[in-house]
Amino acid sequence: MEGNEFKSRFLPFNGLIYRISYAITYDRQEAEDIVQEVYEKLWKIRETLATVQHEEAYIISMTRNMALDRYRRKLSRQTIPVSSQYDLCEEESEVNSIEQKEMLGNVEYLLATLPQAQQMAMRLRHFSDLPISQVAETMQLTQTNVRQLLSRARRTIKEKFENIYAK
Amino acid sequence: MQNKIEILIDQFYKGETNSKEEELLISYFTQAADSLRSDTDRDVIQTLSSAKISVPSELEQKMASMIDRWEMQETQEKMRAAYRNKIEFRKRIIGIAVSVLLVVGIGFWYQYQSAGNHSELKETFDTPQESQEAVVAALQLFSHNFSKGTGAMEQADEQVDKALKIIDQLLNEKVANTAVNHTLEKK
Repeated sequence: MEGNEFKSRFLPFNGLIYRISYAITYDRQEAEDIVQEVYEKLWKIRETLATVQHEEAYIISMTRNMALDRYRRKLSRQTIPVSSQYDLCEEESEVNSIEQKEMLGNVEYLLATLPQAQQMAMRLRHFSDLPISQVAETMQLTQTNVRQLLSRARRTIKEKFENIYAK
Repeated sequence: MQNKIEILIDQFYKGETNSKEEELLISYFTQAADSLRSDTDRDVIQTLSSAKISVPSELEQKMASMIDRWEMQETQEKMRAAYRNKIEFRKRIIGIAVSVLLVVGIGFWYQYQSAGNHSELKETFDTPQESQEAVVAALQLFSHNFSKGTGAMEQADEQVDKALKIIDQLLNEKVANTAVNHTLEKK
């Protein structure tokens, strides 16, 4: 497979790879490194990719595994404080007002208090803006399970949000 | 409309809304000054929607450049490998040629050495009889070679005799001619 064919076939997935990587690692630089790593691996095995039926599912799975590996390595190297786990600074999100930033800070904190699976579902759905089908693919769950996770997470956040603002 | 929004908010908390429906909710909360639901619903939905990350605009271009670079490296690597193979092949051919020359050279040398140092006689023997036979053989060989040498000498003698006879004959003829000339001059 030539470079041009490879690019036309796999480059359109760069946004998806980046979003999934970011949702797992919470780090822009790590996410970019993972995108590069995924493309490097795809390039090396490009001759065997002709037999892959569902490219998107294949790439999601590869990205998920690489991002989780990196995240685990990172965790083993250092203890990340909850407040710095989220790398959503001004230029990378669409936050405009100071009030929203403040609330977002709370949402991040609230997300960090959720069970891991709920956190992941929320990040993939809301931060990375993936449709339910791709969230399910990434988490290797059914769409019904993802909807349940999102439901629980949203309800919990709402309750905690109310508690914060009620004080 | 408001009834529909109520349903969508409920569906949102049940995790049953899709991207389009969530976009509708966001747009509703952005436009409507006072909603049916509490401010918390609005804040939760707006905040979650505003937390979307953006993909770096240059990422695709960056990856395209990397792919081009990998392709170029691979091409160069293939060319290098082909060149290395060519050199290896030449080395093998030269190695084989040198080996053949060496073997042939050794063969010639051995043959030359064998021919030069060939001895028909052994130096030691196990039994006196063998020794005696060897002595006899050696003497016969000597005798044979001596005969050959003598024969050659006899032939040489014969040739020398012939030559001397011819010289004598020529000298005699010359002396006779001189004598005749003197006689004629006196006369």
